[in-house]
Amino acid sequence: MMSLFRLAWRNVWRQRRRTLLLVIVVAYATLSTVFFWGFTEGQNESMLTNQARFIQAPAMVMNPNYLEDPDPQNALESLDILPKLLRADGIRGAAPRLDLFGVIRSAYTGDNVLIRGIDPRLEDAVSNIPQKIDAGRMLASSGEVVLGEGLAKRLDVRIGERIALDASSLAGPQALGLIMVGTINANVGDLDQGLVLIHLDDARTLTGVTTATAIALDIPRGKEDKVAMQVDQLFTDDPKVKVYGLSALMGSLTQMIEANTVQMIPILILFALFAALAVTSTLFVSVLERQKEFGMMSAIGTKPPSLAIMILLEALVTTVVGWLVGLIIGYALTWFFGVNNIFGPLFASMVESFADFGMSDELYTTSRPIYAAYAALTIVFALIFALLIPAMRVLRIKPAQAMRDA
Amino acid sequence: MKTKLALALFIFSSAFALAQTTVDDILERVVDSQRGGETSHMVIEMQVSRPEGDKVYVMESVSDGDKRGLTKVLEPSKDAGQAFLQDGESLYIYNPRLKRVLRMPPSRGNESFLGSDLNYNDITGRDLEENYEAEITAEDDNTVELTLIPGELAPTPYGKVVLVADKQNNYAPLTYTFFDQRGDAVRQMRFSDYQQVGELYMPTHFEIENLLKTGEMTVINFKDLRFGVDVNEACFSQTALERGCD
Repeated sequence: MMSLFRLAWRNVWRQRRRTLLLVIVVAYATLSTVFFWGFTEGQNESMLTNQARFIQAPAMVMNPNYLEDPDPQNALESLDILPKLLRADGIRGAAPRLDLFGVIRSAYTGDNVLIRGIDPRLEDAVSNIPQKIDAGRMLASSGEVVLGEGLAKRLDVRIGERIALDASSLAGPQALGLIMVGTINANVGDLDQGLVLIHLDDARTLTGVTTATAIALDIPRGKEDKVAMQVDQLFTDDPKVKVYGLSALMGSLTQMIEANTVQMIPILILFALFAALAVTSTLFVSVLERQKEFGMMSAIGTKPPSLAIMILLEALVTTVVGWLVGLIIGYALTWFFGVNNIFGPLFASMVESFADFGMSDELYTTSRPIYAAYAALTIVFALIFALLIPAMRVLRIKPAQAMRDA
Repeated sequence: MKTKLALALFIFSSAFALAQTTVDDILERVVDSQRGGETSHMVIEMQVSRPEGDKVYVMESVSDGDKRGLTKVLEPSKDAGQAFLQDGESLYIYNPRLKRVLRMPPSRGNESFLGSDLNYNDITGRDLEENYEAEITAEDDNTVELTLIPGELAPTPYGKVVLVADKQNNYAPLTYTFFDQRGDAVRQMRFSDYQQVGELYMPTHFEIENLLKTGEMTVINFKDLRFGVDVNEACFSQTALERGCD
């Protein structure tokens, strides 16, 4: 076997140009696969991060009725659970939030908006929004409001000016005048066009709710659902308290991401098939050109199965070399675009609706070892095809005829 | 000396209190004049002007002169049957296509009334009294000008409202001009054609102009006005929205 491998290795490098071409084809398919997955998963990661750090939170504690009907009357009955949450494993921080629907008015126009009441001292722990202040400053106290940059522009409000908020509440209609102290530009469509951040106390005034509609939890990325499930077990005796992980909070967006990933599989298979066919066709041409050689080898006693194995080994050597080269370049690219935010601003500037899909202008590719396995599909296909076509031909070779025809 | 000083202070503070009461009283009369104050029945003609064309609504309205009123759209035929019931701070809308009564959340009070330059708060609210501090900024024999400045956190986006009232007609409103917080006028309401209702003079012609958008204006005329009429209590129930009342 070892001698066959040495022979295959030597054969491969006999036709350097042809081998180089095969290596390039396989390397291209491999790096495309690696980069394709790195980009796709990076996109998904961007959406998940935006949901976890901007739009929602890594996990939320809510009254289950609130998830069904997001009305402040379905708020949490008490915030006494906060210390218990902060002691739970995997929870790095917690912040109460009070969300309500209302109308925001400037002197020029008005709009229906989702208003979020937060505790500015705690929100930093569960959200990246405070780091995305574009102008002015973050909310610090009652009587202030921070708006998404797009919303502020639409209302034509400037920093230091007052806006009015109207809301229905448990205590009847309520209205507040608040001074805008800052604007947010997170490059996340929902936030930039509709964010209204106010102090928790003001949200309580507007709603008549004395607690909060949710407690946002900070959980390390990737562990949201698992930790949420574990923490939920602490509240099994209270039917009005439930902990929801990121997947549950994202709802249909989770299914969309899963569907997207599934849709990628046929494309991946197609990549591998094309590369494998290229390898097979080149090998086949090589087998046709080397009829005399195979005839002579057969005449001096090499058995056809050994010749077939040699062909397979040639296919294996070529594809593995191409695969390794492709992996090096592919992972180098995913690493580079994983530490440099080049795609985010590029796509955000090119595609207007980019932000509407919950994406921000931060888009990093991911690098996972599993991509190498996905790319190895090319090798598997190449070997199968090589076995089916060139190797079968070698198996059927007749030495005298082969030498004569050649 | 101390007694004289105390007396002077007393007189000064009393005079100040009297002046303040007068300003508040004027404002109350202005707002009351706009609403009538007695039970009423009227036909309202509202013309909404937009650069792309005008639209005229004809409505029938009954009011208890306080916080309850029923308004039904008669024309144009496309909108006929829509009805609005104000009951205190609640507003109910009847949609004849859906054949349903919808309770309008107070948070939608800022929405335009039938696409006009009037919003529901203009019709039902007393924002001018509740959200602003008034002071007299000009006065002559016939008119008085009040400037209304909102409190720091008053629920209004306006920087000030300048209101001119007619002294000869018991402080009936002449104009309201709404200014943004940069000092620019953004909206103006003009009143005329007064009808006496008890001590008050109620304007029956309103013009509401959007000063930021040229050509956008709403003109309202109250016709066949009858005050002090007997209004059936059933008119202020939700069933009246669909079936009407006598």
